[in-house]
Amino acid sequence: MNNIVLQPSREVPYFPGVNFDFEGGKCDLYEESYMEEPYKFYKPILEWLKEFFIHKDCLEFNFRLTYFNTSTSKVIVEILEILKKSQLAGKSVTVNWYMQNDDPDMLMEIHDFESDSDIKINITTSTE
Amino acid sequence: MFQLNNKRVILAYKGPFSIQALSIFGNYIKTIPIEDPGAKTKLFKIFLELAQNVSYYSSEKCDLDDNPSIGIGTFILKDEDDHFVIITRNKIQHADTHKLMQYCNQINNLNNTELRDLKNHKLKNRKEYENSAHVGIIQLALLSMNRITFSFDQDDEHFEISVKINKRYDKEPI
Repeated sequence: MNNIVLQPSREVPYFPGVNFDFEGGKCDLYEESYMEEPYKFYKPILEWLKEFFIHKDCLEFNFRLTYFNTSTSKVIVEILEILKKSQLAGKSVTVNWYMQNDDPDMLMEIHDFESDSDIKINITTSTE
Repeated sequence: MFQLNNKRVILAYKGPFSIQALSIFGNYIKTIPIEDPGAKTKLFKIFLELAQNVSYYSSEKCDLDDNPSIGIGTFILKDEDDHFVIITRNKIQHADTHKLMQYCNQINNLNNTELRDLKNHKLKNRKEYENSAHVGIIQLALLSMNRITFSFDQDDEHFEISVKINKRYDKEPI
Protein backbone atom coordinates (compact mmCIF):
# COMPACT_ATOMS: atom_id res chain seq x y z
CA MET A 1 0.00 0.00 0.00
CA ASN A 2 1.22 3.49 -0.79
CA ASN A 3 1.42 6.34 1.67
CA ILE A 4 -0.80 9.39 1.12
CA VAL A 5 1.04 12.68 1.51
CA LEU A 6 -0.63 15.97 0.61
CA GLN A 7 0.83 19.26 1.75
CA PRO A 8 -1.59 22.11 2.56
CA SER A 9 -1.17 25.10 0.30
CA ARG A 10 -1.93 28.82 0.55
CA GLU A 11 -3.52 28.71 -2.91
CA VAL A 12 -6.05 26.07 -1.86
CA PRO A 13 -6.40 26.50 1.92
CA TYR A 14 -9.68 24.56 1.94
CA PHE A 15 -7.84 21.25 1.44
CA PRO A 16 -6.23 19.85 4.59
CA GLY A 17 -2.75 18.41 4.88
CA VAL A 18 -2.71 14.62 4.81
CA ASN A 19 0.06 12.31 5.95
CA PHE A 20 -0.94 8.64 5.98
CA ASP A 21 2.06 6.44 6.69
CA PHE A 22 1.39 2.77 5.98
CA GLU A 23 4.58 1.28 7.49
CA GLY A 24 4.47 3.54 10.56
CA GLY A 25 0.72 2.92 11.08
CA LYS A 26 0.10 6.61 11.57
CA CYS A 27 -2.41 9.02 9.98
CA ASP A 28 -2.35 12.79 10.32
CA LEU A 29 -5.03 15.17 9.05
CA TYR A 30 -4.18 18.82 9.61
CA GLU A 31 -4.90 22.54 8.88
CA GLU A 32 -8.31 23.47 7.40
CA SER A 33 -10.94 21.42 5.59
CA TYR A 34 -13.85 23.17 3.88
CA MET A 35 -13.80 22.10 0.25
CA GLU A 36 -17.04 22.08 -1.79
CA GLU A 37 -17.04 18.41 -2.64
CA PRO A 38 -15.65 16.61 0.39
CA TYR A 39 -16.27 13.10 -0.95
CA LYS A 40 -14.17 13.77 -4.04
CA PHE A 41 -11.26 14.60 -1.72
CA TYR A 42 -11.89 12.10 1.09
CA LYS A 43 -12.98 9.00 -0.89
CA PRO A 44 -9.40 7.75 -1.46
CA ILE A 45 -8.66 8.46 2.21
CA LEU A 46 -11.64 6.42 3.40
CA GLU A 47 -10.67 3.58 1.04
CA TRP A 48 -7.03 3.71 2.23
CA LEU A 49 -8.20 3.33 5.83
CA LYS A 50 -10.40 0.32 5.06
CA GLU A 51 -7.57 -1.36 3.16
CA PHE A 52 -5.01 -0.56 5.86
CA PHE A 53 -6.74 -2.87 8.34
CA ILE A 54 -6.61 -5.78 5.89
CA HIS A 55 -2.80 -5.64 6.17
CA LYS A 56 -2.08 -4.14 9.59
CA ASP A 57 -3.34 -4.42 13.14
CA CYS A 58 -2.31 -1.16 14.78
CA LEU A 59 -3.12 2.46 13.82
CA GLU A 60 -2.70 5.90 15.39
CA PHE A 61 -5.01 8.55 13.90
CA ASN A 62 -4.18 12.18 14.69
CA PHE A 63 -6.65 14.95 13.93
CA ARG A 64 -4.94 18.35 13.87
CA LEU A 65 -7.63 20.25 11.96
CA THR A 66 -7.83 23.91 12.91
CA TYR A 67 -11.13 24.35 11.08
CA PHE A 68 -13.57 22.00 9.37
CA ASN A 69 -17.00 22.78 7.92
CA THR A 70 -20.13 20.72 8.53
CA SER A 71 -19.66 18.84 5.24
CA THR A 72 -16.29 17.67 6.56
CA SER A 73 -17.94 16.73 9.89
CA LYS A 74 -19.91 14.17 7.95
CA VAL A 75 -16.68 12.60 6.67
CA ILE A 76 -15.11 12.70 10.16
CA VAL A 77 -18.10 10.69 11.44
CA GLU A 78 -17.43 8.18 8.67
CA ILE A 79 -13.69 7.97 9.52
CA LEU A 80 -14.55 7.33 13.18
CA GLU A 81 -17.06 4.65 12.17
CA ILE A 82 -14.34 2.83 10.19
CA LEU A 83 -11.96 3.10 13.15
CA LYS A 84 -14.59 1.84 15.60
CA LYS A 85 -15.51 -1.09 13.37
CA SER A 86 -11.83 -2.06 13.14
CA GLN A 87 -11.46 -1.78 16.89
CA LEU A 88 -14.44 -4.10 17.39
CA ALA A 89 -12.79 -6.53 14.97
CA GLY A 90 -9.80 -6.69 17.30
CA LYS A 91 -7.48 -4.04 15.81
CA SER A 92 -5.59 -1.61 18.01
CA VAL A 93 -6.72 1.96 17.25
CA THR A 94 -5.69 5.17 19.02
CA VAL A 95 -7.43 8.45 18.13
CA ASN A 96 -5.83 11.73 19.17
CA TRP A 97 -7.18 15.23 18.58
CA TYR A 98 -4.88 18.26 18.88
CA MET A 99 -6.60 21.64 19.10
CA GLN A 100 -6.28 25.25 20.24
CA ASN A 101 -7.59 25.89 23.75
CA ASP A 102 -9.54 29.00 22.66
CA ASP A 103 -12.07 27.05 20.61
CA PRO A 104 -14.83 25.68 22.91
CA ASP A 105 -17.04 25.01 19.87
CA MET A 106 -14.51 22.57 18.46
CA LEU A 107 -14.17 20.92 21.86
CA MET A 108 -17.95 20.45 21.95
CA GLU A 109 -17.87 18.88 18.48
CA ILE A 110 -15.07 16.48 19.47
CA HIS A 111 -17.05 15.38 22.53
CA ASP A 112 -20.07 14.76 20.29
CA PHE A 113 -17.94 12.78 17.81
CA GLU A 114 -16.62 10.71 20.70
CA SER A 115 -20.00 9.94 22.22
CA ASP A 116 -21.71 9.23 18.88
CA SER A 117 -18.97 6.99 17.50
CA ASP A 118 -18.31 5.36 20.88
CA ILE A 119 -14.57 5.57 20.31
CA LYS A 120 -12.18 7.14 22.83
CA ILE A 121 -10.64 10.40 21.59
CA ASN A 122 -7.59 11.71 23.46
CA ILE A 123 -7.81 15.50 23.35
CA THR A 124 -4.71 17.68 23.68
CA THR A 125 -5.19 21.45 23.81
CA SER A 126 -2.50 24.05 23.29
CA THR A 127 -2.16 27.82 23.07
CA GLU A 128 0.19 27.69 20.04
CA MET B 1 -31.13 45.35 4.60
CA PHE B 2 -28.55 45.48 1.81
CA GLN B 3 -27.55 49.11 2.03
CA LEU B 4 -23.96 49.17 0.88
CA ASN B 5 -23.48 52.84 1.72
CA ASN B 6 -24.06 52.02 5.37
CA LYS B 7 -20.87 52.92 7.26
CA ARG B 8 -21.11 49.75 9.30
CA VAL B 9 -20.68 47.50 6.23
CA ILE B 10 -17.08 46.30 6.21
CA LEU B 11 -17.33 43.65 3.52
CA ALA B 12 -19.90 42.99 0.80
CA TYR B 13 -20.05 40.74 -2.23
CA LYS B 14 -22.47 39.78 -4.97
CA GLY B 15 -21.75 36.97 -7.39
CA PRO B 16 -20.85 33.29 -7.54
CA PHE B 17 -19.97 31.80 -4.15
CA SER B 18 -17.02 29.79 -5.43
CA ILE B 19 -14.68 28.18 -2.93
CA GLN B 20 -11.85 30.35 -4.27
CA ALA B 21 -13.78 33.55 -3.52
CA LEU B 22 -14.89 32.29 -0.11
CA SER B 23 -11.35 31.41 0.96
CA ILE B 24 -10.18 34.93 0.06
CA PHE B 25 -12.99 36.53 2.09
CA GLY B 26 -12.42 34.02 4.89
CA ASN B 27 -8.73 34.93 5.06
CA TYR B 28 -9.67 38.62 5.18
CA ILE B 29 -12.15 37.97 8.02
CA LYS B 30 -9.35 36.28 10.00
CA THR B 31 -7.45 39.59 9.94
CA ILE B 32 -10.28 41.65 11.51
CA PRO B 33 -9.04 42.68 14.95
CA ILE B 34 -11.27 41.18 17.65
CA GLU B 35 -10.09 41.01 21.24
CA ASP B 36 -11.84 37.76 22.13
CA PRO B 37 -10.16 34.92 20.16
CA GLY B 38 -13.29 32.79 20.61
CA ALA B 39 -15.43 35.44 18.88
CA LYS B 40 -12.86 35.76 16.10
CA THR B 41 -13.00 32.02 15.41
CA LYS B 42 -16.80 32.07 15.48
CA LEU B 43 -16.92 34.92 12.95
CA PHE B 44 -14.79 32.95 10.48
CA LYS B 45 -16.74 29.70 10.99
CA ILE B 46 -20.15 31.38 10.70
CA PHE B 47 -19.10 33.22 7.55
CA LEU B 48 -18.05 29.98 5.86
CA GLU B 49 -21.16 28.03 6.87
CA LEU B 50 -23.44 30.83 5.66
CA ALA B 51 -21.49 31.30 2.44
CA GLN B 52 -21.38 27.59 1.64
CA ASN B 53 -25.11 27.47 2.25
CA VAL B 54 -25.51 29.92 -0.64
CA SER B 55 -23.03 27.98 -2.73
CA TYR B 56 -24.93 24.70 -2.27
CA TYR B 57 -28.55 25.83 -2.14
CA SER B 58 -29.02 29.00 -4.19
CA SER B 59 -31.34 28.16 -7.06
CA GLU B 60 -29.46 30.66 -9.20
CA LYS B 61 -26.32 28.88 -10.44
CA CYS B 62 -23.40 29.52 -12.71
CA ASP B 63 -20.60 27.37 -14.12
CA LEU B 64 -17.03 28.45 -13.54
CA ASP B 65 -13.95 26.75 -15.07
CA ASP B 66 -13.42 23.89 -12.62
CA ASN B 67 -16.57 24.43 -10.59
CA PRO B 68 -19.91 23.51 -12.10
CA SER B 69 -23.16 24.68 -10.46
CA ILE B 70 -21.88 27.34 -8.11
CA GLY B 71 -24.64 29.14 -6.23
CA ILE B 72 -25.01 32.89 -6.79
CA GLY B 73 -25.96 35.25 -4.00
CA THR B 74 -24.98 38.23 -1.88
CA PHE B 75 -23.45 38.69 1.53
CA ILE B 76 -22.63 41.62 3.75
CA LEU B 77 -20.64 41.77 6.96
CA LYS B 78 -21.54 44.62 9.31
CA ASP B 79 -19.63 45.82 12.33
CA GLU B 80 -22.13 46.94 14.95
CA ASP B 81 -20.87 48.31 18.27
CA ASP B 82 -20.80 45.15 20.34
CA HIS B 83 -21.38 42.54 17.66
CA PHE B 84 -21.02 41.67 13.99
CA VAL B 85 -23.84 40.69 11.65
CA ILE B 86 -23.45 38.53 8.56
CA ILE B 87 -26.35 38.51 6.12
CA THR B 88 -26.65 36.30 3.06
CA ARG B 89 -29.30 36.51 0.39
CA ASN B 90 -30.00 34.08 -2.42
CA LYS B 91 -32.78 32.90 -4.69
CA ILE B 92 -34.65 29.75 -3.69
CA GLN B 93 -37.39 27.68 -5.30
CA HIS B 94 -40.77 28.98 -4.18
CA ALA B 95 -41.82 25.41 -3.35
CA ASP B 96 -39.00 25.13 -0.75
CA THR B 97 -39.97 28.30 1.12
CA HIS B 98 -42.46 26.92 3.62
CA LYS B 99 -40.23 23.98 4.58
CA LEU B 100 -37.17 26.19 5.00
CA MET B 101 -38.99 28.81 7.12
CA GLN B 102 -40.42 26.04 9.30
CA TYR B 103 -36.96 24.51 9.71
CA CYS B 104 -35.42 27.86 10.74
CA ASN B 105 -38.26 28.38 13.25
CA GLN B 106 -37.67 24.92 14.67
CA ILE B 107 -33.93 25.65 15.10
CA ASN B 108 -34.65 28.97 16.83
CA ASN B 109 -36.78 27.13 19.38
CA LEU B 110 -34.15 24.55 20.35
CA ASN B 111 -31.67 24.86 23.20
CA ASN B 112 -27.98 23.94 22.93
CA THR B 113 -28.46 20.28 23.86
CA GLU B 114 -31.38 19.84 21.46
CA LEU B 115 -29.41 21.50 18.65
CA ARG B 116 -26.46 19.18 19.25
CA ASP B 117 -28.73 16.14 19.32
CA LEU B 118 -30.41 17.14 16.06
CA LYS B 119 -27.08 17.83 14.38
CA ASN B 120 -25.58 14.53 15.50
CA HIS B 121 -28.69 12.64 14.43
CA LYS B 122 -28.46 14.18 10.95
CA LEU B 123 -24.73 13.44 10.70
CA LYS B 124 -25.26 9.82 11.69
CA ASN B 125 -28.15 9.38 9.27
CA ARG B 126 -26.38 11.09 6.40
CA LYS B 127 -26.78 10.12 2.78
CA GLU B 128 -23.63 8.52 1.46
CA TYR B 129 -21.49 10.57 -0.94
CA GLU B 130 -23.71 13.65 -0.68
CA ASN B 131 -21.56 16.74 -0.28
CA SER B 132 -23.71 18.84 2.02
CA ALA B 133 -24.35 17.59 5.54
CA HIS B 134 -27.63 19.58 5.81
CA VAL B 135 -26.68 20.81 9.27
CA GLY B 136 -25.35 24.26 8.34
CA ILE B 137 -28.22 26.24 9.90
CA ILE B 138 -28.04 24.18 13.10
CA GLN B 139 -24.30 24.91 13.23
CA LEU B 140 -25.00 28.66 12.81
CA ALA B 141 -27.30 28.59 15.84
CA LEU B 142 -24.79 26.60 17.90
CA LEU B 143 -21.90 28.90 17.02
CA SER B 144 -23.62 32.27 17.30
CA MET B 145 -25.65 31.38 20.43
CA ASN B 146 -28.17 33.95 19.17
CA ARG B 147 -31.47 33.64 17.38
CA ILE B 148 -31.23 33.51 13.61
CA THR B 149 -33.20 36.10 11.66
CA PHE B 150 -34.62 35.04 8.33
CA SER B 151 -37.14 36.20 5.75
CA PHE B 152 -38.42 35.44 2.27
CA ASP B 153 -39.06 38.13 -0.29
CA GLN B 154 -42.09 37.03 -2.33
CA ASP B 155 -41.38 39.54 -5.10
CA ASP B 156 -37.97 38.29 -6.17
CA GLU B 157 -38.06 34.86 -4.43
CA HIS B 158 -34.94 35.57 -2.39
CA PHE B 159 -34.26 34.06 1.02
CA GLU B 160 -32.32 36.17 3.49
CA ILE B 161 -30.64 34.91 6.62
CA SER B 162 -28.92 37.04 9.21
CA VAL B 163 -26.67 35.88 12.05
CA LYS B 164 -25.41 37.97 14.95
CA ILE B 165 -21.92 37.26 16.29
CA ASN B 166 -21.07 38.83 19.65
CA LYS B 167 -17.67 40.46 20.04
CA ARG B 168 -17.28 38.70 23.38
CA TYR B 169 -18.45 35.27 24.38
CA ASP B 170 -18.26 34.74 28.10
CA LYS B 171 -20.50 31.73 28.13
CA GLU B 172 -18.88 28.40 27.28
CA PRO B 173 -21.05 26.26 24.99
CA ILE B 174 -20.35 23.04 26.95
